[in-house]
Order: sequence, then C-alpha cells, then structure tokens
Amino acid sequence: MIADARKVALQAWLGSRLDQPDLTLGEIHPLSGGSIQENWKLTCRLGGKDRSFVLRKDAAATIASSRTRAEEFAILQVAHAAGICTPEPIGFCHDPAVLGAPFAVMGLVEGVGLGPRVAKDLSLGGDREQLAERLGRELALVHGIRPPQEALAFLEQPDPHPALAAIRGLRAKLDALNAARPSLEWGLRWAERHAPEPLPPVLVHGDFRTGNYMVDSEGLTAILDWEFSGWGDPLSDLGWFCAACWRFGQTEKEAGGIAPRAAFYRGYEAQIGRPIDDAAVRYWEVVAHLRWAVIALEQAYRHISGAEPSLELALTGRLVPDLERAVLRATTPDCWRA
Amino acid sequence: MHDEPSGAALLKTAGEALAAEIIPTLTGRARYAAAMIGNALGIVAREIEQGEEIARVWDRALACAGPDASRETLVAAIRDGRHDADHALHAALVETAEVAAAIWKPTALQRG
Repeated sequence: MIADARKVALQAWLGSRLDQPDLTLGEIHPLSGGSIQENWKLTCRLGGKDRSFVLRKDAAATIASSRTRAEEFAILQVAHAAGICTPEPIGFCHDPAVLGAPFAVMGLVEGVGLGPRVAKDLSLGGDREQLAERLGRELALVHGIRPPQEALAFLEQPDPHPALAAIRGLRAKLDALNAARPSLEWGLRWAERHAPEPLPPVLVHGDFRTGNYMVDSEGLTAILDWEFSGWGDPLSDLGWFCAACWRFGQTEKEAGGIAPRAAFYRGYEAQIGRPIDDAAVRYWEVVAHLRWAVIALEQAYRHISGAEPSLELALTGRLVPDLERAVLRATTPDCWRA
Repeated sequence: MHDEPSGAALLKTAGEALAAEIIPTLTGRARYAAAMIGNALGIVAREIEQGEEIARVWDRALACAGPDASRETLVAAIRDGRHDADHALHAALVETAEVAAAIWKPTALQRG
C-alpha cells in the first residue's frame, strides 16, 4: 500500500515533474504486476482534465538479471525518443524519501497484455497479420539503436559473440543452481558448436514476446518490459519472439502465436532494409528454449530454497522437460555438423 | 503392502473431486489457485505411477556415459564434447524428456 503521507510527497513530485503545480493525486490502484516489481495506477487531475499514470517500483524479491529501475527508465526514454511504441516516460524519482524506494512514472496505456489472452482472443489486436508486421517494424526500430549511446553508457560493453556469451551465462546459472540437466547440456553443446556469425551489436529488447506488449481492439498500444535490454545480436530478439514456447497454444502461428512468421519478417525486413537470415533465427529459437528452461529452473529454485514459497513457482519448474523435448527435437544428431 | 486405494489412485480421485465440485464454485485468484492445486495433484499421481519408467529411462541415458555414470558426470561429458551427435544418447534423452513432460501434462506429447 501507499500511505497517505507518501501520497502527499508523490503528488508534489509529480506536479513539479510535469510542471503542473495544481496537480492533484486521486485514486491509487495496484496493477497486476510482475514478480520483479510493483505496479500502481495513479489517477490525477491536472489542467482541468483527468490523466492516468503507471508507477513502477521494485518488489521485495528481485532477480539478478533484472536492471535497476533507473536504467530501465533510461532505456525506455531512448526507445520512446526513437519513435518506438512505448508508454510515455514521465519521470524517474531517485529520492527514496518520497516512496521508500526509487520509482518510475509512465503514461498509462490502455490495452490487454496477458499472453494467453492476446494469443486466443481474436477480438483483440486488430488484423493479426498487420499486428505481426507492425511488431516486426517496431523491433527493427529498436535494432536501429546502435552503440555507443551516451544515455545508455551504463550498459555492459557489447560482447563480440553474443550467442557464445549466452551459452556461458546459461551454463553458469545451471552450475549455480546445482542443476544437472543432460538434455539442456545437449542443447547448449549443440548451440556452442553451431553458433552463426554474430551481427554487429544493436540494442536488443531482451524479452520481446507475446505477453510483453499490449493491444486494444485496433492493434498495438505499447511495447513493455524493457528491463532485460542491452547490446546484443538482433536475431536473438527475433528467435525469442518466434520460439514455440511463446505461442501460448497457437503453435501453428509461428510469429508469437498471433500470425504466420512471414508477416512478422515482412515488417522487420521493410524497416531494417536487409533480409533476415532465417536459419540464424531458428538457431536463436533453440537458445530461447534453453534460456526459458533456465529461467524456469531459477523460478522453481526460489520456491525450493525457501526464499519465496509459491505453488506457481514450484509448478514452473515442472515445465522444463517440455522445453527439453523441443530442444532435443531441434538438435537431432543429423543436425550436427561433422 | 499398502492399503487400497493406492496413494496415486487417491490423488487422482482428489483431483477429480476438486475439478468437479470445487473449481466451478470459485472465481478469480481462488479459482486460479485451485486449478494450480489440481495440476500439482495430477503431477504427483502420475509421478508415483511412472516411478519405474522414470528409473528405466534414466538408467538407459546414464548407461550411454559408461558404468557408474551419474547425471553430473554425464553433464560434464556432454560439455566436453564426448557425446556430440551421439545417436544413442539423444534417443535416451528424448525418452527422459517425454516421460517427464507427460507427467507434467499428459497432453504435452500430442503436440508433437
């Protein structure tokens, strides 16, 4: 909850940030948030009109791979300035005196983001081919942001070989969890042996998939969840988006469970101005399954370790074999180069 | 000798009662939580029933890495490249993943 004394401080901060000293803060509602952060909806009165905002603040338990709120906000600002369809970045408050922890405020975007609903409910998102094309164009705009960027100086230097770096990182996480998973290791070894030549580094979203953008009845309203962004290989984002594990049951719609892959590729290629290496995207789809499997094991470990007892986290651990099946199917012995 | 019905059969019946009598009366978060409990009951029931099969497929996978192999030694051997494109190991790993995926969700294998 946000206590009354905090509301006064928040109202003053927001009024000054928007240069609207007469701003009054009305209702504050919790929004369904991630496990990483708390989200609140703020309804304000300013200049004779009602306007709604989203406030994001760290939740109690955060995982190591998540960026600080300040960094996430800076990435959002850069993306918004590049013309990408994101919530409007309003301001970031570093002062913990206001709400007890730093927080970001963005313009509220209407729409539905929940992956299973977006995939299943065809009354959402408008024409699905056009939605996939639009998402392809938006992703290409993200990939148009190249290093160096002064506003993103906090990002780690781009790795010369992002695929091999990803494999190293996943192995290190498996070791840290004491997880002996031969099927994942089989996939990681295949990925190590078959990594395509990396493309020049660009800003990658890092979690670009159905479930992390919002749609209304017309189409796309915002691309969300920038906390895993960094310099990387652009095709990693395309592989994550198309991976079978993010189709929410609509397996035949290879672009995020919403449309044929070709529609998504078409939008991306039109914006980026070069053809997509489809084989490399399919490579990154294998890596996507490996990455999601390791995240699922990490989530289960939060339950197993006693840090965060939760049936939902516990059950997440049990979906790993299904991801392992997908990895093994894509890496049969005849797929290995001699 | 265990009493009848077996633990697995009891869990299966409990899951059916939950699905038929409890879940339809719930909405929102409680319905979601009850559905998760139903999933968990089903997983445990299938895991008990499949106990011998789980042991068999893992024995077969570990046998590919030689006598006295453990999951840890198999992992190390795969990382070292000692099983690249190994047909026997791949087939055995597919079995371990399929058995476990079907315990997680019986319909998983139908999706191909």
